[in-house]
Amino acid sequence: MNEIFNANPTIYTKSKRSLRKSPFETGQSLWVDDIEQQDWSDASNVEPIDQDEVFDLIRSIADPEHPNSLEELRVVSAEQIDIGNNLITVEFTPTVPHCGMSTLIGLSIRVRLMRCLPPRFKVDIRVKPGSHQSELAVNKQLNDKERVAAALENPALLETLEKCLATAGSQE
Amino acid sequence: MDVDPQFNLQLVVSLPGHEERAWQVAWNPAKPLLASCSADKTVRLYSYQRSGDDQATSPSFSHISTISTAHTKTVRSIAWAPSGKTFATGSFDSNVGIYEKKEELDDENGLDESEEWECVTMLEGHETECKSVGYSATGTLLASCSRDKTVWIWEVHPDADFECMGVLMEHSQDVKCVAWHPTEEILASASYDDTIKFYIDDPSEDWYCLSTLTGHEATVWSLAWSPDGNYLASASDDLSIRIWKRVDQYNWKFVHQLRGHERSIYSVSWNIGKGTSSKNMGWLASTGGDGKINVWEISQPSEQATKDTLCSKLIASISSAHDVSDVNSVQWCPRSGFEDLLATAGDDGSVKVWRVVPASS
Amino acid sequence: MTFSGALTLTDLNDFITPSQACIKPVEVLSPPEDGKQSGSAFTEIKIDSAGSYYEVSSLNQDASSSKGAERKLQQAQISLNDCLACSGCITSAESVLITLQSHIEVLNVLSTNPPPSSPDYRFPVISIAPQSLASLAATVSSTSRFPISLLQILRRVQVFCTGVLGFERVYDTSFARHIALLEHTREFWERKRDEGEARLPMLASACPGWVCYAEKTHAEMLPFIARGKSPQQVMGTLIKSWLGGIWGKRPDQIYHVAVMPCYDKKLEASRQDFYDEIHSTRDVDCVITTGELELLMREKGWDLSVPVENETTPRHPTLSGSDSRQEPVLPELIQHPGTSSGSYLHTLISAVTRMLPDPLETSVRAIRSSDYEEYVLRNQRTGEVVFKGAKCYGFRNLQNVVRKVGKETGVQIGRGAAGRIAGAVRARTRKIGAGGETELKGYDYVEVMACPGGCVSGGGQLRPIAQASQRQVDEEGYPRNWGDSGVRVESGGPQDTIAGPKWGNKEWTKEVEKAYWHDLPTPPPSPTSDLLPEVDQLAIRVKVELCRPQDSASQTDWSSPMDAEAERRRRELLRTRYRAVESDTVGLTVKW
Repeated sequence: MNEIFNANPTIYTKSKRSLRKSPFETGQSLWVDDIEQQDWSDASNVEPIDQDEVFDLIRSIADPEHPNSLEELRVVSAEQIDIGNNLITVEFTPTVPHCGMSTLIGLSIRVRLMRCLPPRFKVDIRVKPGSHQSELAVNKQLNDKERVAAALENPALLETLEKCLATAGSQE
Repeated sequence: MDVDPQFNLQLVVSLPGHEERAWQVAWNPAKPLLASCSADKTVRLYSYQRSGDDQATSPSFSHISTISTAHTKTVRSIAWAPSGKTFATGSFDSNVGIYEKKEELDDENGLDESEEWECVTMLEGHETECKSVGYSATGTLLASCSRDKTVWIWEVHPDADFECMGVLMEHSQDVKCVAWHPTEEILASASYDDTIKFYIDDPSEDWYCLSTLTGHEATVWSLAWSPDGNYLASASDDLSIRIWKRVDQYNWKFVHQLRGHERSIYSVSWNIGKGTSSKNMGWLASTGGDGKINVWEISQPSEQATKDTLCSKLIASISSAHDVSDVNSVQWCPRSGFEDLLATAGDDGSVKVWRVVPASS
Repeated sequence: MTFSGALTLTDLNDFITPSQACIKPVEVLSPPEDGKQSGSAFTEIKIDSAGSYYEVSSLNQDASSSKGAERKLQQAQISLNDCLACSGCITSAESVLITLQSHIEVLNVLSTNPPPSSPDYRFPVISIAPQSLASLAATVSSTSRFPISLLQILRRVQVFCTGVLGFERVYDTSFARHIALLEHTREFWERKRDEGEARLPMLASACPGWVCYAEKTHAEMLPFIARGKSPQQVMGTLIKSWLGGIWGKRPDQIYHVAVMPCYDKKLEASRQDFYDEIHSTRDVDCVITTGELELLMREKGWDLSVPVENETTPRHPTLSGSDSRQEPVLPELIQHPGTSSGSYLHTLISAVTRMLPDPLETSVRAIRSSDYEEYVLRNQRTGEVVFKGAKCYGFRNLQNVVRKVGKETGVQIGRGAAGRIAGAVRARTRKIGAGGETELKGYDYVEVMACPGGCVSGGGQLRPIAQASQRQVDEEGYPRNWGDSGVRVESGGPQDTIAGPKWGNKEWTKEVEKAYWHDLPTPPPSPTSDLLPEVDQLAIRVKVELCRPQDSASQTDWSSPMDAEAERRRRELLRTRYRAVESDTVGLTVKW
């Protein structure tokens, strides 16, 4: 049993899933290698992407300490996703401002997008401004590729992460 | 920004081979060898040679060895000793590996040199990921740094023996890079805490931190000393490169800023280059998360009055150097006659060698 | 909670700093509320002015109360034992230490102690390390015309502790150290003679920083660390198991405070090995640092520079006469020549010298600094090396000793990376290593201490005044006004613009070292005090009374053999164990 930062979070109903099936959502663990074989860089293959498609990729990621999805807890929403030129910025809202799970939640979002999106997309992940007491520290850590890379080589952390991601992409 | 693309970055060779992200490249300072390290836990070695003595031709590269290191996680960093006979690796498994060429019975048999390298010792001490390693100018000292906030200094003894000379706990966060002064025993370190620190040995005491530079507004990823040792360049997540001038023995001052990247700048390298002006301070190359390689010519201003300033000119630039991937490392070739050669390592697992050539050619 | 200024300040010089935040998972004790479906609750967390967290349930709102039902949330508690079992940080978790082992805690216990007539009265006893006395002596001497001796300081502290704080007994720990050294020597010979699985080299066990570090990162070194208890823990045994019996007190009826030069002694006292489950008590109930004792004195308005009555008169210890009903007067401030960190190495050197019939020649070689010295004993007649030892202080030197011992003994170092190096390489290293003659012989003993300069410059000692004012921010980077936090800061005086070496003022360490040896030369050559044989007599009385050998009359020496049951008690009372700590395996709490 671990410390629970927010023992009783507010649960919200889920919105309708967007009808359009994203071409990116082809698999749950599409690694960079596989993508390369598909030659994403080929200009003819470049697909535009929108907020809803990115949201579909991350909405059903499980919260590390609750049996709910990030969407149900309103940690993520389509409005908090910004699409630029090959740059995706995902903002998320921790359930409580002292949430110690924020880096883990952010990491799960990053890994999910890293696995599903073609490598041409750069991804920035941030907590919603004012929603976390260590906002800057969390943002800094989530966007440090070296820290992220090292984290994914930690077996205990990776196992926890895989649990959060096991539900990602599920339709229910 | 003074942009004058009078040079082009010409791709000499693309060297795929790493199965995962390539983190760093390192040119052997003494021999025609290029090494790279990767998340695939290997080090790859390439040899190169020029056909004939014509400096105008680009050398050709061939893969000679893939070293399966003793590391259990990503090999993040690689550095050659000045002799070119030893290299060190820093890994996410927190250890530093030391590699030497296998002793063959028929040594000094120049032509059919064996390229079997083996780990001769492992330096343990860091608690978490080692991020960078580097040998001092004379090769007698080795430094390493880690997410555990420490910088370690080891003295190199004969027969692959090492003695710990100092454990410096000065940074408040992850230490990203260590860089030795090109001639003196001064070590610089850069950190996630946005600062740069300098260390020297007090002969009657231990190694200690003599100065801290603040100014960057985000993680400082990489450091490069100017060839003459009077300047230090630092590259940061704040999208700027700062140049610091050594104003007296133990004091550095911020004198110049370079901007030209849209995402994190992961690596800088500074060498003499092939500039011709008398005020030329060499060429500085930078790269990062935007996939761009920039080459700047650094020079001193002509008037004496402004001696604490520098001039810079972007002389060459290329985008998507590793296609859509981040570029993690850039290094100038340190060997004489190859000053226009630089190597890069990218998230695509490839190593690329580039040549700075006049735009007209 | 505000941090004690003295603690935060002196901790800046702690030799091994925590590299990660505390990651210990905390158990949630509140049971799940009945009938409430997870996911359907509407609650919010409120924080009151005292910093307590309340959970407010909006479901329970009804007409009678406009406010939702509030439930005070339990605050997570992390014990020192959790800290010891965790690899999240190497040494001290400040906030935990502060609440459980602080001078405030000492005052709390003393002020809530019922009167001596009450059966719940806890007999308060305090014992002080000689290094702490030396730190106080050096500080008082620095503003005094004449140097103040350890005895004077001890007397003044005794008057303060009994008169102002109400302690019943005040001791220095040198007699406990004497017993620790006797047991240490005995263990060395056991290892030398290859009794049991324990091997040489033997590594000192008195430094808890080193022991903790080895348990967390160098498990392969644990078999080499001496099993003998440190002076602090021997003192705990003496007070709770021996003197307690004489006083007619059970261990839990005694409150034992130790004053130590080091924060990690707090961790040591909290080890489960030193917890008496029968009486639910520890051998040392609370450890405070020299700095915290000084803070106590300052808070109580006690001026240590003012002399007390008869402060230069030594007490006459009860040395012999084994009337176990008579309370002995312990010998005070016993000098153990050698090092100011306990003289473990020098005690063994003189034991080896006494043991061998041939005269020996000692050669000393400093490796880079006085913090790492090698001692080689040679038989003068044959030239044979009979003993090779070293004293090794400071984290950096400790690294080199770990590497060297690992190499010499062939144990796999660290987390096993060395084991992955190709066999051919190891063979090559061995071939090369077989060079010099003295190099061939590995260490027999190493006096390992984690602090540079050893215990006199421990993290809990008083700092030279000038240093404090240089640091304007604390460990976490927050600006601190040391003066306001109760830290005495001397203003004025030019300060170096270039920051000094991390480990601070060597000059100051020399002062403390000088105070430690008082009038003796520093360090003294090797005189054995005339007192020692008599001190040994008292030690034998302790051994007999604690271990209760059947044939007590034949106990003429510390190493005199005893029956098996008495030997078992000796091991139980005077030795301890170490265990490797697994690194973090809980994904949720991994710091990355």
